[in-house]
Amino acid sequence: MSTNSDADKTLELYETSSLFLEMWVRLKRNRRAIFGLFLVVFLILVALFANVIAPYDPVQIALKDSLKEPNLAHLMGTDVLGRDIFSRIIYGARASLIIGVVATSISVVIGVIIGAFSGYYGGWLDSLMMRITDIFSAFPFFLLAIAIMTFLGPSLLNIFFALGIVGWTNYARLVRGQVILVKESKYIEAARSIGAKDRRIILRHILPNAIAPVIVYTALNIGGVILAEAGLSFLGLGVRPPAPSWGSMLAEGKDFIFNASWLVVWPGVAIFLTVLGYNLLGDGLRNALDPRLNLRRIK
Amino acid sequence: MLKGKGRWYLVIAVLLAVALILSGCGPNAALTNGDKPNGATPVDGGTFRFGMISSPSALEPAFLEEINGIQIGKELYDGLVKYDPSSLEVMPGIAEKWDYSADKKVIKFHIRDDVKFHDGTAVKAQDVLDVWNRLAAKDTLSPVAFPLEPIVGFAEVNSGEAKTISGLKKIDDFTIEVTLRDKNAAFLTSLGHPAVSIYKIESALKAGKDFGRPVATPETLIGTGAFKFVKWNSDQDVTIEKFDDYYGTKAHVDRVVYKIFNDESTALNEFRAGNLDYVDMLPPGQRKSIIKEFPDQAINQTTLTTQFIGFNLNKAPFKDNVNLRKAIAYALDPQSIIDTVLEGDSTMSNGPLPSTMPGYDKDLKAPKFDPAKAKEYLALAGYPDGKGLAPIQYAYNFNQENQKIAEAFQGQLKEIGIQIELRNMEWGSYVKAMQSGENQMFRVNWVADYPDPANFLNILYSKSQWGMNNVIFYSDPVVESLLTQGLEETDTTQRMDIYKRIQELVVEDQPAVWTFNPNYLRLFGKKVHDLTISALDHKDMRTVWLSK
Repeated sequence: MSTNSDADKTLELYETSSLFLEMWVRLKRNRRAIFGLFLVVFLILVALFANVIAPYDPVQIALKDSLKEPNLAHLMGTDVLGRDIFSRIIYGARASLIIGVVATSISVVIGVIIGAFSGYYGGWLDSLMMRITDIFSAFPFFLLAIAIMTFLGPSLLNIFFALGIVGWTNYARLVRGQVILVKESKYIEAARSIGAKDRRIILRHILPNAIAPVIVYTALNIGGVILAEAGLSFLGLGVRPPAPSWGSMLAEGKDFIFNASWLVVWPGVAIFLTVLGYNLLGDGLRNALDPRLNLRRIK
Repeated sequence: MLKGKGRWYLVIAVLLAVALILSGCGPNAALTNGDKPNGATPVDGGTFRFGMISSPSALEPAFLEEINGIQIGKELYDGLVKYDPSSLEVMPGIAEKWDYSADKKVIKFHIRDDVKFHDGTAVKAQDVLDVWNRLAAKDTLSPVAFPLEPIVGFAEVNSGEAKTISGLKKIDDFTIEVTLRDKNAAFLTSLGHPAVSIYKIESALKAGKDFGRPVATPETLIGTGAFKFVKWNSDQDVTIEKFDDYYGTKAHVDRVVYKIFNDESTALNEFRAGNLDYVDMLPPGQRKSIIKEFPDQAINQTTLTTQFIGFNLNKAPFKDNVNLRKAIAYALDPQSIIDTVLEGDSTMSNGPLPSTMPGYDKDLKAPKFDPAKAKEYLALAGYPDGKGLAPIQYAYNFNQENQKIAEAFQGQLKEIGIQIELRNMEWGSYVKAMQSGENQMFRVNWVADYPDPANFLNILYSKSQWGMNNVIFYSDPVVESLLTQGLEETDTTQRMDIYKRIQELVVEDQPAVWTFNPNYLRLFGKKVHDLTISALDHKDMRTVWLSK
């Protein structure tokens, strides 16, 4: 690969750039990834400015407006309690985003810590932690989340906890593998030989070089977490009602699918676009960060 | 009459029924095209294909507690008495007549001499005694032994101290004497519950745990009803067949096949395809379009069910604050919820009894939606415009309908300044939370076991049922003594007056907001005639017939 002239050019270009700049340059070339990024940014803006965009209070019931078809006053119609679907979709974006980000962050933090220690120290610590990881990952992701939510009851904090606690195992494995790979490198040996402490080696040298796959997996995973939240809410185990959530909107609307299809179409579209956005972005990031294309490492 | 454990049912788990000794005016029943004056003469034969949603849990009488088990069980087994399928009046069953002693505590039942088990052997007094002793026994663990509770000696058998109920005697092969602890005007009515109906105990004992389960065979499951058991394919169907030696009026159809579905939409599609003669439950949210699709094939029956919002009277903020309870009652507008969420599938309730129950008082003055009055009462309660009132938790068992109703309540209470937090719970923990009194405010749905006001009032509002079925922890000395009188009074008119007085007192105390009397929409095929559905939600297979 090092003889490839294209690669040489890119190598030149990257020589002074950071990991993220490099990633961005690659990402820009991928049109689908940019579309994904656009969707994600759009979602974030909608969530941030929900109170400005939404024309109605999303929990205000008005039984006299029950099941109104989409019209000028209610762009996406109303549900059986007369609530404005458009406003609920907008506020639902906020719930989805918060849950996606917070629950994933919890998973990342737990997973990275456990993975890094396991991989770096090895031995019995590694065995112990990996067996714990095995135990957690032995439960199907969604079923474990259902069990935890049933036990704790529906609320936003509990969802963070449930989805965060069931999602960390893959991060731990991923990070452990990367750390094992990286810790044998010459530069780690060098760092160790000049007397760097373990903490410094892990934080300054190993993690930054092991983090790329974590970023990719995170982007892909947020979509999955949002989908899981929708699934939990669909089963009545998600956000505490009447707070809007796309999953509970779907569940509320499913009975009306034949005579008031707008109840399910809009939350369905919202979930679809969001998950699509994160997946396209994640795919793009994976290509952009693929270690086999990482020219710095080749050097 | 007391019931053992608390038994709360979901709307679908409707329990049983019975007749009215007392009153000439039974609950109304819905009837298919048979009630047209020029109804044709019944034709015998054919197979009735019954679309049933969710499987019966058991066909053993001691475990007939949910509606699907009861639905099939009441065709397989007869009791001493039965209910008229439309009026729910008590009618002779295996017992052709009965007489009371002067103090009304001893009842002598005269059993017909022509009653046969499905295997052709005769039914005698000892069979009734054996079956009832087994039902009451501790080891049986029956959740529905309550009809026998008023009998002397029931408690001893139920606790395992005795083997046979002392108040139960055989006089001769066709006469039984039953001694009650106290006068009990509801006892005979409760005997219409299929839990106390008669089956051949020898074959049941031989079958052991398999009795009345899907592995049952016609050799082990031997009843006394107008239909006999053929087979039960687990989660698929249950087949029963006309019993030719039945002592009473014989059924018109040869067979009934109960086809079991897990969801309403699949059943509806089968009905559309012409593979069902009747479908029991319809998918929610589609009521209006279904009526449009089958305009002359829908049947609608108001059930003996009351749904209400219970207040925990042992807990703040409702303890000793009738004004707050009244404020909530005036702030809610159940009719608007019936029109939208329930698609018209319920009627407004005005008090503790459903409108189809004997003793129902249509003139009861329960609060009706009136926001101005609600605010007045809220101020009287010490929370003007809701100031100073912490958010109140409202608990309900989770399903989409309950959830939407809860959200509507929440919205309506917000209008007058009362904040409600919704707490949706899984069935088991919901029942536990209610019985342990940890909730402040909660949904209750009470379905009649038998058509007698005692089945509502004496159970839901008596202190003796605290923490079991009286989950609002209501108690009032005047009401309590009236409840006892109501059970003992044998003159129907006077008895119903007592129950009317009780209703007035309870409504004044407002320990609950009575919201809905649910009714159900069902579909039947074009060839179906004289299908009766009672207020207990029983569909009578003995009178229905199919035109060719």
